[in-house]
Amino acid sequence: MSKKSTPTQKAARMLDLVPYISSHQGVSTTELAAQFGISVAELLSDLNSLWMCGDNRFDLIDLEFASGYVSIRNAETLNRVRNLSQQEIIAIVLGLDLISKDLPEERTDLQDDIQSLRTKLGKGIERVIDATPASDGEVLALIKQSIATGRKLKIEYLASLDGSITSRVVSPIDFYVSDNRDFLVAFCELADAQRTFRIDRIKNAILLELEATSTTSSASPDTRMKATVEIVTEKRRSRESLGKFVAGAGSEVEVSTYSLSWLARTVIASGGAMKVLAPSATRSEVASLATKALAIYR
Amino acid sequence: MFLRVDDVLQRVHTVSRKSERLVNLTIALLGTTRWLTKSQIFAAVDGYEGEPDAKERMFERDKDDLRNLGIEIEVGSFDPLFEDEVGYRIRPDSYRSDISEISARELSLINLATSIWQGAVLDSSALSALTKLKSLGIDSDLDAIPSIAPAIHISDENFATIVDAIAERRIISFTYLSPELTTQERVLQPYGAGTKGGYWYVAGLDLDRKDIRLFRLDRIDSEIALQGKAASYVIPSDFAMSTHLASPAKTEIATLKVRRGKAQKIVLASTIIDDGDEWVVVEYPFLHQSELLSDVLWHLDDIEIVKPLQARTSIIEHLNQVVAAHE
Repeated sequence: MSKKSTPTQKAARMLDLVPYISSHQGVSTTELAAQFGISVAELLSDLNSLWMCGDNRFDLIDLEFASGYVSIRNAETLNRVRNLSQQEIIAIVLGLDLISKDLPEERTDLQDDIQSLRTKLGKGIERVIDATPASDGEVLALIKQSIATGRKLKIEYLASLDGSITSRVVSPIDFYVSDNRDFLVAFCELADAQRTFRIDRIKNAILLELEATSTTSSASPDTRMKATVEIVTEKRRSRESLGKFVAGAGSEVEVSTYSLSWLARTVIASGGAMKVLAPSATRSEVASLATKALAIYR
Repeated sequence: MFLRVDDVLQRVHTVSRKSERLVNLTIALLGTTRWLTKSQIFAAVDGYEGEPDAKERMFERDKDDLRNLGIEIEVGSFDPLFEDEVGYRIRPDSYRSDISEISARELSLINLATSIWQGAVLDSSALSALTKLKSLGIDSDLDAIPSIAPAIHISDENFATIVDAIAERRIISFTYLSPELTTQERVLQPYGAGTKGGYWYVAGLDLDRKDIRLFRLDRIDSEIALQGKAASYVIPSDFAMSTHLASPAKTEIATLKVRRGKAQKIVLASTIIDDGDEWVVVEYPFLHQSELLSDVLWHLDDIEIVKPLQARTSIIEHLNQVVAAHE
């Protein structure tokens, strides 16, 4: 949005401004700018340009916008809503797809609406698009609502390390995205401390009628630890399993992690494709965990 | 600010900018019921100035620009016997959206569908689509939509390039990371795109391998380049992105002993055979043995593979290997 638009983009906007203003006579410049995703200054420049257009030089479009409210007259030729571009259709269809997979099952009425929209808009494009959301949209909505209203949330959480499910009452603090995944930062009553939860691991959430515990979102100190890992085989898969904070291009990489237990399990799960070189405490932890796992087969 | 004629004369002198010329050209071609010749266009539309050659070039570029906006300019002839004088026009019914009968509730769904893109890479396409639909004068009915907030997080500009390429059916090329992390040059006729499990994908005909392949965007190691002309191939009518992103059916079954309360993701995906006090015996469907081993290894001594025997033997080998590598 901060990028300056090209003359072609500006022309497209001018064409689309005409039917929008015609159907929203008297719209304010701020609202209009927001609807078109541009600044008011850019909108005024568009309107000034549009004001110089018309069927011929003596029959120009009449625009009134000095008052801060915009109205239009004498723009019959352009007063048509332009066809949606294929890019626009793809953006909508992708969005509809995600909604459709997030809707509560009983809303078959909305599923039918989405199906009919896909056909009306799609014209064949809908079959080249397919989207499934990474996190549950209902859970996301509850989290946002809980942050906005300052209420506690009860969640069923699937722990990443041992895969146990615990029920926790949390006071959400913040919500963020990292590496295409959604995370929730919250004060957790079970842990009696601030915790970060991966939203796709929240199995169920209920908004409680309890006021959230007020906590200041203290920027937690960076407690990441460093480890050196040798990638022996299956390089792409191994490297991807180590997450985002990996440095080094060769077979020996440096991993930053919040949890060395997580790293130990990741290396064991690779079944020999990776090896911890340092720290030595983690090396021996990997060896002893694997020995313990072997014991159940004896 | 409604104008008088002398204001108008004042204004016309400044009409030279390209965006205004494009708009005026659109008005002229859209407003005409007859074909307009080039000379008529140059006379009617402000901004075509200079030598005849320069005007011609300007006009050709403008036509291309309008076409890129999805505005189809028809070329025709006045007299079928004399083809030397061609005319141009834009048909109102090809310019105008043919979407009619969108209900208030459907518009709210579109509203939600476009809001998902906020801050993500197709943000501006989503917004302009919504603006066009709102211009049809429909009010949305937000109360009809349940509170869900799916989100799209993709800031990868390559995705916007892929969408453009699919929309215009243009060939793309890029560098891709192989399973052994070597880089490969790929040339693709993109057919479809989508997302699943937080990853984004493009599928298409790999021109070197002559087969339909699926690529994950985060494994593309270069900027995607567009090649050649638009409309250079046809997406087969039986292509569906959903079949390429569908998880293959898990046809194998493993019998596992899982420590009670642990590894719930695996238990939830299984059928429980014996619900014991300390151990729960389940039947867990899987596709490849390597995935099964990796899922089970993660849980250390919380899961024991009972069957298949081959997987049981392999997991013992893997664990021995891990121990040996870390002693």
